[in-house]
Amino acid sequence: MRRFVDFCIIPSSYEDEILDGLIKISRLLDISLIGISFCQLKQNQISKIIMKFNEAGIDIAKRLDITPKTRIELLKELRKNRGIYEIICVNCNNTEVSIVASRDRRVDLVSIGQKMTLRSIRKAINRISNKHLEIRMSEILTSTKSKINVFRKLYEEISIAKYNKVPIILSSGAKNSFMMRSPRDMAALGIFLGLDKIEALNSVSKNPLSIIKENRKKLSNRWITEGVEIYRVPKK
Amino acid sequence: MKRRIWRYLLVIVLSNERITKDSLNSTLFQNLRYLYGEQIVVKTWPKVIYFNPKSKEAIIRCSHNAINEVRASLALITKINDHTAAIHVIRVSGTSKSLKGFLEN
Repeated sequence: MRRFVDFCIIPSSYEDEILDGLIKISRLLDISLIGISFCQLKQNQISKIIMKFNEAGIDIAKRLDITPKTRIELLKELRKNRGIYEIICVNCNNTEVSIVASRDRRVDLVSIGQKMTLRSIRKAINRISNKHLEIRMSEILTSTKSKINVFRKLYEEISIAKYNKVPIILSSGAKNSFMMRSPRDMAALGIFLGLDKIEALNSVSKNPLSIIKENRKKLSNRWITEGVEIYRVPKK
Repeated sequence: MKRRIWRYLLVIVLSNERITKDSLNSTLFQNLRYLYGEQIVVKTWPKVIYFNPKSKEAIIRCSHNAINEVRASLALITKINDHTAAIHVIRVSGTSKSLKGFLEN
C-alpha cells in the first residue's frame, strides 16, 4: 500500500489551534508524513511541534524554505542550515539563483517563483540534476487573477521537467487546514496539468519518501560520506 | 445498451458557514465546467446524492472513468456561496450502500 506525503506545509503561525487543525485533517486524509517549514523557530520549539505530531501518529520532516536574492545569499544559507534541516527547498525568483540552486548538491527541491518568465523557467529546469522540482497547489488556490496564467506556467514547468526527466513533487503549500488537499486530489490535479497517472501518484508518495530516506541517512551519526558508513562500533 | 458504471465519492466539506445540497452541487458543476468544459460535464454528470448538513458529509456520484476530473475540480473549490470552504475526498466506492455503511460505523 502506498504511503502518502504532503511535503510542504507553511503554517501561518505555530499556535496550537492551527497545528491541531493540521493534525486533524492529515489524519482524515491518511497522510503519513508532512514536511513543515520551520522559519525563525528555535530548536526546542521545533522539537515540541514534532512531538505533538508524532503523538498523533504523523511523521514530520523538518524543512527550510529559502528565497535568496543573490547567489552569495543562497550559498551562505546552505552552509549554515544543511546540517540542521531534513529538506531544503529553494524558491527561485531570478535566473542567477535558479542556476546555482539547480547545480548545488545540498539543495533537495527547487521551486520556481511566479515572477520568472517562461524563458528563464526553461533555463532553470534544463540544468536541474539530481534534485526534484516542487509544484505547490497553493499557487493555484491563492491566485487572485485568472487561474489560466498559473495553469499555463505550471503546465510549462511540468512539460519541461518531463522532457528533461526531472522528478516532480506535488505539495499543497498550505498555510492552514482549509488549504490542505488530499494527496490523491493533488495527483488528480497533476494529471490535469500533464502528468501520467503513475507519475502523479509517485509525486505524492514515492519521490518525496525517497528524498526523506536519503537525507535522514545522511544526517544520522553513522553516515560519513558517500558510500562510507559506520557499520559497527568495535567493543573496547 | 451498455449499463452505465458509477463511482461514489464520500466527501467532507470544511466550512464555518451553513451549506446546502444545491449550493454544493452548483459549485461542483461550475468548477468542472471551468476546468474541462461542457463536454466533460455531460459525460461525467456528477450529482450530490446525499448530504448531511450537520456533519457536512456528502456522497457524490459520477461516471467511473471521470473520477480524476471530478477529484481535480473538487480540489480547486475554495469558496461555496462566497464563504471559505474546502472539500476533501475521504473514500471512493462502487456502491453508495458501502459508503453509507462506512458513515454509520
